[in-house]
Amino acid sequence: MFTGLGAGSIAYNDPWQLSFEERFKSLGSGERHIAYFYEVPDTSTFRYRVFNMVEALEAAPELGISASWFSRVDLPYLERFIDRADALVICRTRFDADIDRMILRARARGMRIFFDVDDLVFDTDYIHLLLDALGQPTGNQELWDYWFAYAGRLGATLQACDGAIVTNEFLAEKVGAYAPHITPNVVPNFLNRRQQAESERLFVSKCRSGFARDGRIHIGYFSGTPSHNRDFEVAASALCAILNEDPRIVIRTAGFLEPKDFIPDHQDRLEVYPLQDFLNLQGIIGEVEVNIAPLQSNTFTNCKSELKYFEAAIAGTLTVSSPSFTLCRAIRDGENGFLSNAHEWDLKLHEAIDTVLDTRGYFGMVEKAFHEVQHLYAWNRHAPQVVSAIFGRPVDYTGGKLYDESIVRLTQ
Amino acid sequence: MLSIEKPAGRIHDEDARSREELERDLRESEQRIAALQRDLDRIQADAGARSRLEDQARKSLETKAAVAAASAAEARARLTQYRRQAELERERREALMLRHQQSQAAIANLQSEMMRAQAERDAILASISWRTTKPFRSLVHSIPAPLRKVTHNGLKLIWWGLTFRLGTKLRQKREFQRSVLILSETPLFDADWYLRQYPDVAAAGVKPAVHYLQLGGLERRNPGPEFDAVWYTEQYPDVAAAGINPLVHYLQSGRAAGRQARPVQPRQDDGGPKEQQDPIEKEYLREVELLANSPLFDRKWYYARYPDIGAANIDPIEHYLRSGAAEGRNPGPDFDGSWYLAEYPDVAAQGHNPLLHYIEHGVAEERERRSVQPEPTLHWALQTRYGSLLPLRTFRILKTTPRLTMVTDSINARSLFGGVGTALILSALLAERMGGSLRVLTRHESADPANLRRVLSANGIEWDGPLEFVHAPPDETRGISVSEDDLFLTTSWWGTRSALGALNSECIIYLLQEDERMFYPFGDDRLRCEETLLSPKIRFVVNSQLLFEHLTTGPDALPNVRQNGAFFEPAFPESHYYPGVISRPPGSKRNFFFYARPKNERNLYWRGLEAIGAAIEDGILEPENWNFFFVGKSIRETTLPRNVNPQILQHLSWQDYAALVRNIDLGLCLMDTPHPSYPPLDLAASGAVVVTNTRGVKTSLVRYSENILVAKPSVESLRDALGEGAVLARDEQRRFANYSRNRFLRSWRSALEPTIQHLTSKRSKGH
Repeated sequence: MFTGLGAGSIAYNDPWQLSFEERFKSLGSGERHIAYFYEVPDTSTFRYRVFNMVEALEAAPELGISASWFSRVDLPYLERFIDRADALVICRTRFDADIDRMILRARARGMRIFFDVDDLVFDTDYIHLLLDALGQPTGNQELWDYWFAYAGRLGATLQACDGAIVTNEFLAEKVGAYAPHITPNVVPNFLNRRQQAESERLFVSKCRSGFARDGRIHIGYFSGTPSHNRDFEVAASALCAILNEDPRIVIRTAGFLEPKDFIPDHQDRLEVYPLQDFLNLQGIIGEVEVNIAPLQSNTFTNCKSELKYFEAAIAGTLTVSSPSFTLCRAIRDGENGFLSNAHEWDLKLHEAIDTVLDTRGYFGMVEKAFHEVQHLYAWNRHAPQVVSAIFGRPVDYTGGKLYDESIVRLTQ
Repeated sequence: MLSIEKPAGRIHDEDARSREELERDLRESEQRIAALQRDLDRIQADAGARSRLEDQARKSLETKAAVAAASAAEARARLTQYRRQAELERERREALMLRHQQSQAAIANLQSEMMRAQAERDAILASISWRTTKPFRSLVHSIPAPLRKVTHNGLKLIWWGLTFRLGTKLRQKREFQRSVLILSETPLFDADWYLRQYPDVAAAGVKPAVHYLQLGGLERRNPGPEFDAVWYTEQYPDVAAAGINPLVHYLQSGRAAGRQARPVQPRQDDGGPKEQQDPIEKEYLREVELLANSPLFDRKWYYARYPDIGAANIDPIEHYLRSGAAEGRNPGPDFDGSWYLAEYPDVAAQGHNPLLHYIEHGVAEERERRSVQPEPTLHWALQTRYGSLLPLRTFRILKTTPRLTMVTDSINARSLFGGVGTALILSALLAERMGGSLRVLTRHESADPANLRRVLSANGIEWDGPLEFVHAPPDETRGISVSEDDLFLTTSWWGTRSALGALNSECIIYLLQEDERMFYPFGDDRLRCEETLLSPKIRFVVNSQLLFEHLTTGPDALPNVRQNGAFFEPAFPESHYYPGVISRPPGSKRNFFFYARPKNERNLYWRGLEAIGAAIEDGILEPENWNFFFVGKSIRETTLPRNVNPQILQHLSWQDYAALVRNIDLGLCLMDTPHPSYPPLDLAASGAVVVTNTRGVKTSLVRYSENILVAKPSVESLRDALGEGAVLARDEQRRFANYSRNRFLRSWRSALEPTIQHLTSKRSKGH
């Protein structure tokens, strides 16, 4: 484990705790105004798809765009923010009478209306796959009702919009197939200012200490919901094997996942953290030597973004990941991380651990990953892309690199 | 005129009485208003509290729903418990809503009443007569009491007349008096009971009948133990809507119209003044609560299991407590009441409800419980016996890339090599040719994915495409996604049968590496195996020409295998299969290998021991010239003739096995099936001489190697063959000349290419 980072000590408050008037005021400057809408602010999708977008736009005043966000509690004042906005981006919001009213109001004012989504959760044709991928019991009627209602309502909102903004091309294709009248644009997930600043501080601390470690080697898994059990399972037998072989190995997780369900024999070497806020999570990620992102191989997981890679890379931590659509474009195996197919996890973990033990080699890889993430996923670099997606012609986002046609073909 | 002529004193007296009456009316009105205000305050406070309770209940429900959604992956038992709690909360909420509505109605009535009273009071205070009679009111108290009533009534009549309400008031008064009379005559109104039940009425000193008619009826209080006012108004909402006193309605018209009444029932949380519960009712409610909070009582299951209860719209807990348990019905899937009573006769002898006893005493006494056993139906019996044949639980997904799914029991180390390894190689190469993804579906245990890599890399194959591993035991509910372009490669008749139960047979390819009928004596299992093999539309791939010949000729031939099948010969890559030693120093010991699997009948373990024993006794395998290795599974130590104690090697890794085989000079590998099997070929491909047995079409294996000697499976024949083999093993020149003429395929890609071409060119779309 990397030492001396001062991780987990940040006094945290949700930075989105702002009054309506404060947010409404933010919509006032600039020539054009974007109103983002999300049901209830949270630390996952809202943070990446709304809060970070608004922050990025605020950081680029030269574009003449102001943006702010609103949620269901603001609907009594929807006329105020709709009437001031030039474009409305509705992020992962379930359809109902209020949303319909908001869309009609926006349309009556001639606004472009976009649906923003980061998961394949709007098309009921994929519900069974989704339940399977999440390990949900398919005999439970309430779950079917819930997920059909959830996806159906999201799909209804999507259908009512004029455009869509998604996290990657794979998901864009699914949106296009579901709503043929829409040509989706891609704006990837990226960091926010505080997240990036704290992560960079961790990376610098590591560099200054010469990547000082204690004697243990931590492997971390930070997708902390029970619905990722089947993803974790992809690497579970390799983790068991490596724990058997090497007493220095410790597994660290954060969130609801119960690693002991998969690793019953080494519970003394399992560190389970409760769910973390996004800033202190970076510290917990930064302390581990190897971050893993195992994913099942299916349509649902190929729609996921690459955030598990860049969250670790910006904190100077090496990632071993499954080759999903986005991750196999972000990671070049052996250069800025490792890609592991389902049958290679034992090999790749050994490679990663060998790299950890070679400080110079480790630094070379994580430094490369760090700088690439600074370049590609920084908090203040995506405003033009956002503006182009909303006001301009569609942007052909390729991530600027690494678009391997053969890999894409295999994963599609 | 007459009044003018009245004497002044009389007029004065009358005015005084009138004033007194009016003042008394006013005081009464004020008292009544104050009482009404108190009632209103109390009801509003109650309503507020109930509203808060409702909010809490609603928030609690929302929280529970959110938690349930987030943690839905947890065990079904917990979900069931959440559902039960949610139902209870819903019921409580509905009860609260009902009471809230009733309170609102009562408030509205009281407000109306109060406003009317205030209006009356204001009218009185503002009236000319009140003002003009003010001087006289001071004299009212001087009027004798008996006269005051008369004066009061007279003035009231005058007042009502002046305000044009005389007719209405008189009619209301008559109706009120008639209602009082009705109450006095009906046994359904019990004044004493009413006062006992509602101490606030007794404390207020109001006549019970008057209170009931003026307020109690509106508040849905019960007039007596035999009339449940809440139930009546719930049954007949028109009564509540019309604001009619429920008992008066029942007596005046409801009964005649055939409407029902019922005695007061025990109700939970009814919010109003609590009725005194008798001990039996109290105990009953406690039991209801116990069951409602127990995860072992499953309302939905009860309804589903006993449709008569649902059809009769009876509450499951009520039914179970009153009669269900006595009728032998079970409260939920996880508690078998009949079993519990049979297991614990002391509980049965005392007539206990089994689940209540278990909850209250059994758990603490560490008594056992068991789940309800399935009905011993034919369907259940067949499922129990042939669970491994249950259809795959497939679900449809939209078309993606082509995908090949290999269905097998396990790919873990102990079952990995040989047939399973071949299946993995074929699957990977076929999926690669399809340009798609590979999925390994294991039925007995979850896969160690690294084993796929180990097998493939050992045979010079790499897989870098999309890859999934799914563990779906036959008796569990894990779904298997299926899309239009999926193919399934099955590796056993039971896996094939499971696939056939769920898939179009045209998308199934059955890899046959054995005549699986030979696993069984003639009987049920063999019959099912053969039926599966005779499935007309599945395609077959057969490992070795010999096995194909066996399956397609003779009295038990499978015509569909000939029609829809292809065979391949296995490959033995030179990277692993080569001689470890070409020439041994003179006088050095040689290595003897026996493929020993006592638990696999077809490996003829005991016959092999007999043959080896005979060879040692007859000096064919002299202990001073040979090292003896027994390789396999479940081998027991055995001392052979001349005190030979063979070295037993079990659970070898693939690498260790291959390294050993490379250093063997002579092997005995028996297989009582009509195909070569892998061990003799492994040995021959690695330069050893090997003896095996004949069976059916397997009479010679020269097609692979002249170093494979095939003998009849008698002890003598095998002994003789071992003698011949020992000579050949020592004759290194002839042995390695034979080796150099081996006809083994050395590349799996080459070996499987014709088969893969055959399968992909004939590929038809299933589903």
